[in-house]
Amino acid sequence: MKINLEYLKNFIRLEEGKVEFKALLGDIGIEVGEIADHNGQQVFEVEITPNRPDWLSHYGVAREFHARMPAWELLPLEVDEIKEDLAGEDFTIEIASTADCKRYTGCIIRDIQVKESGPAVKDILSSLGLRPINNIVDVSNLVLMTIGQPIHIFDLDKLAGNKIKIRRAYNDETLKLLDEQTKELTDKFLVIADQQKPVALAGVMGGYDSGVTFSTRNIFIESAYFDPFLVRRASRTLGLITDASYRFERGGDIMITRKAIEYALRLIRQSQAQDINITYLNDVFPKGFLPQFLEMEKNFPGTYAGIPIDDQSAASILQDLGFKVTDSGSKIWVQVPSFRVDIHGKEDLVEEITRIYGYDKLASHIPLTANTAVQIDTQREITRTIRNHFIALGFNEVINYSFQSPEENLLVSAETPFIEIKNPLGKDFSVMRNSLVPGLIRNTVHNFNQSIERVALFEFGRTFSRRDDRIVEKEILGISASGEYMPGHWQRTGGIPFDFYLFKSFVAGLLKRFKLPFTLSEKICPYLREGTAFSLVIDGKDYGSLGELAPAVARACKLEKPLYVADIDFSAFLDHIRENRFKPWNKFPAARRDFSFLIDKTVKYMALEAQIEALKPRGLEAYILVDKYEGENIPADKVSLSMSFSYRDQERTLTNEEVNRIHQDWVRQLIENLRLIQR
Amino acid sequence: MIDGLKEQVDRIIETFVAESGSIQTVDNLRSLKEKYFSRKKGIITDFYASLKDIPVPDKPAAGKLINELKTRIEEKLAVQEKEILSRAERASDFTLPGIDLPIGHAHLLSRIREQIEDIFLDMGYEIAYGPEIESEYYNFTALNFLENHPARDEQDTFFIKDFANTILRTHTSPVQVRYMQTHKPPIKIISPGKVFRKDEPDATHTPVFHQVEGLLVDKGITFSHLKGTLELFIKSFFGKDVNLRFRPSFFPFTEPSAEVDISCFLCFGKDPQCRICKGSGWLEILGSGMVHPQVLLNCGIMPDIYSGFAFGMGIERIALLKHEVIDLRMFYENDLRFNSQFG
Repeated sequence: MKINLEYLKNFIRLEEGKVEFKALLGDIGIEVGEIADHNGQQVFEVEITPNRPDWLSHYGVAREFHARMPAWELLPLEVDEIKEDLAGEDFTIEIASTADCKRYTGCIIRDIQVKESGPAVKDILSSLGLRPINNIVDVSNLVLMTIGQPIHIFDLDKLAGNKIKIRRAYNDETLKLLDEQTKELTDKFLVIADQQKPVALAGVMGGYDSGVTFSTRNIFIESAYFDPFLVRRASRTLGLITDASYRFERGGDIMITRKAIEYALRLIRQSQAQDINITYLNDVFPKGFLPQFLEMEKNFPGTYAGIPIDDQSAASILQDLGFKVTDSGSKIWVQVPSFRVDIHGKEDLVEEITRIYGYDKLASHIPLTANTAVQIDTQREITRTIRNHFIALGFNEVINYSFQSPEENLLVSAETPFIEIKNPLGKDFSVMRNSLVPGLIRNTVHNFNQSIERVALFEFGRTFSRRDDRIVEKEILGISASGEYMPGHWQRTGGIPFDFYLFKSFVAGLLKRFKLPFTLSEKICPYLREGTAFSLVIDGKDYGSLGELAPAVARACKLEKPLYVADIDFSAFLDHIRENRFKPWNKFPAARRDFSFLIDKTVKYMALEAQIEALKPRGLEAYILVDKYEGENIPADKVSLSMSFSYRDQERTLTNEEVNRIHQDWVRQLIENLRLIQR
Repeated sequence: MIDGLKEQVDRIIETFVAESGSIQTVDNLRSLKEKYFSRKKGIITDFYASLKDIPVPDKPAAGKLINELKTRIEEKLAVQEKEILSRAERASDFTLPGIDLPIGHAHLLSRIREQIEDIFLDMGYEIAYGPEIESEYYNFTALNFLENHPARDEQDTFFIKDFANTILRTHTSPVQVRYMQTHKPPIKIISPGKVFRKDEPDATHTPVFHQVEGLLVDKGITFSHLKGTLELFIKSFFGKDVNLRFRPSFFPFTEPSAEVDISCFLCFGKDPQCRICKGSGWLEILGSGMVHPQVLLNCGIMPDIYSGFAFGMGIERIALLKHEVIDLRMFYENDLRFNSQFG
């Protein structure tokens, strides 16, 4: 909303030069954006929080200024008061349901002249960003901007019959609005209807056919209080946000409808050459208004906010804001003004008092609360360790949106339906991600396109899936690597690219760091290259996968180099990390024996390892594959492997003979079981 | 006889030291070695040969002397050879580059989040987590966002298809509701995490961003406690010279509410052209307030016994200010030229 400082002076005696108005507005809670100059007048663009519809007018802002600066006198709004309703016409106003419309004030003026507004009115309106139309429509806009009450003015002669009814629309009715759009209505809409048809969409916009034009002679002015929910629903359903709907949906001042008309009458009178002929005024207000009363201990503002304010000052702040305060011993009774729809409890009163007293005067105290023991946050510790682990290995952390395109989800799994967003920002962001892998692919492609040679990434994030009509969120660690691992160096020729085994070592290294008892087991995975896909299994449970991106997927993603990816369910860490306990190490010397052999190509290393694990004798501490050779001098169906075994006894130094015996004995078993040929 | 031998030994050593002193190459050193140890007519070899002329009783002492002489010269030769070799090695070009080892980086948002968490952990706050896909109840209703009130529009919400009243959380406050409903005061938590609002991505908006929210509920908690706590945080995070100011604001779940600005940590309000505060001297940094009594009630906490404060900040906003990042979208583009500048 815009506030014209010059215009504001009609309602409060501002003392300029002493304060900066922007800061003053900020102090009372009105955020100022741009400050524009309109023909020498300062115009503030202000942001009004949704709880304060009373601020959506110049008079509302003047009232706040007055509370903050009591020396600035708040001037009464000058209106043409009409004490008694007028019944100089055969006209009726009927409210179908007081739940939908609690008050409706209507007024008829005859024999007016519609013309352009005078320059003063035009200037004010245009400074507030409104287009002057004619002296009558301009009055309704000026009333809105001045006191915040939306009024609507009809051309009386275009209304059929002599009755206005505020009712729900019928399901087949249509209404052409002032913006010349025709809307189909249902009983969800509240309308103003004449004896034949709807003539306005209550609280949102008037009808085109009954609008005031330069040929209008007689007018009907409406000022009402419509149910905020109905206005909001109509406005949202039709995508039509107007100055009126914006105010009504926030809840207006039910006590101002009549005064708004009286103010309009004054403005219309001023716009006319001769005196105006008011023939009818009917204020339909069946249930009246019961003001709200609140009770508050006098010391409450001091204790709740922690400000040193005396009872008297607190009370006078409330009075300056329009509250009525009655003293009752240790408490006060506060009557909430009708325009303060945001006040419901004593905490609200504390905010009012503190706000006007000055937030800058709040003391700073450190709360001395009973501190409960704060346990070490395991999830956070693990996350931090993993993050630092990968950083040290040269990986970069990324963060992607939690949603992506359906195509990206499909890369990983055809298991639909995905978790979809009803109102996404576009197709690329329309499903909740089922995996971190597509994001890592996207990031890799992006960086390769920027000529970055080495793209090693990790991400912590959630994935989303459905299970039995429930949404399951999982915390996942995603890892990927592609391109160059080590750059070329003069000591060797060429760099070292990432490859499957290197990547596997990174992933295994992380799991070993946490001493997770994992195994990798081969699997089929749609987005991983056949043969390279492995499950990460702990205690029989699958916690994630690892492998090279399938060439077809890589091609689809325009990725030219092989990409290695892993995604690990974070619960693998939470479920299996154990407290570390000290273990004494073996003090006796180790003895190494090498063993070279030929093995059938069909036997995978994993099977060999399983045999070693199954047969390994007491004293075998570690083993490692040191060489692999196939080709010349080796039968075509065989591969030559060399392994190095390390023996050590827990209790004593093994003699050479003992080591030889242990080694030969069990190697013989290996040879027999796997039909190896010793070399 | 032995004394004569001793003198002879001393002389040989003297000569050796004099001869070896000027030698700079391994080759020359080898010639010298030859001169002393050659099998045919090396000085030491000859010396051993002369043993046969020594009378039997003196033989052991003489042998010992010659052995010592041999060891000393051998040691000296070895030391000198080592020196010459290492000098030679030093002469190669050690200004050649080492390997350009890859260096990884944490995402800036993670680092900022860790720093914020660290400060509050030190103050005795616990970290609470919650789902990113939330019910409208936890995200809005329990937090006193009235049904159909425009306050709900302020946080443009993503809705989940096929699941009634299910949304992407627009703030991490629902975590606080869940926590309050399952724990008794005193409650001291922070809830960091991703949040979602339907904003088209631009330099100052991304539809996904991160928040850290805090909550403290106990007996006798006041608005001044909120100010003191935030002041402590701000000074810990931005520096001791940074001040903060409270401005009245509105959040449905707090009453009173305050928007918190910090004094510009770059220019302290002194530079009208300041690239961070644009000359205003203040930076909007977080929202806060006293927990609305209705929210406490919704969470089963009696507002006449307990009171509390809550605050929330955007990690992106803080990172943007502290590190002068010019475009929020960079946080999610994951261009390594950006990501590797921090963390």
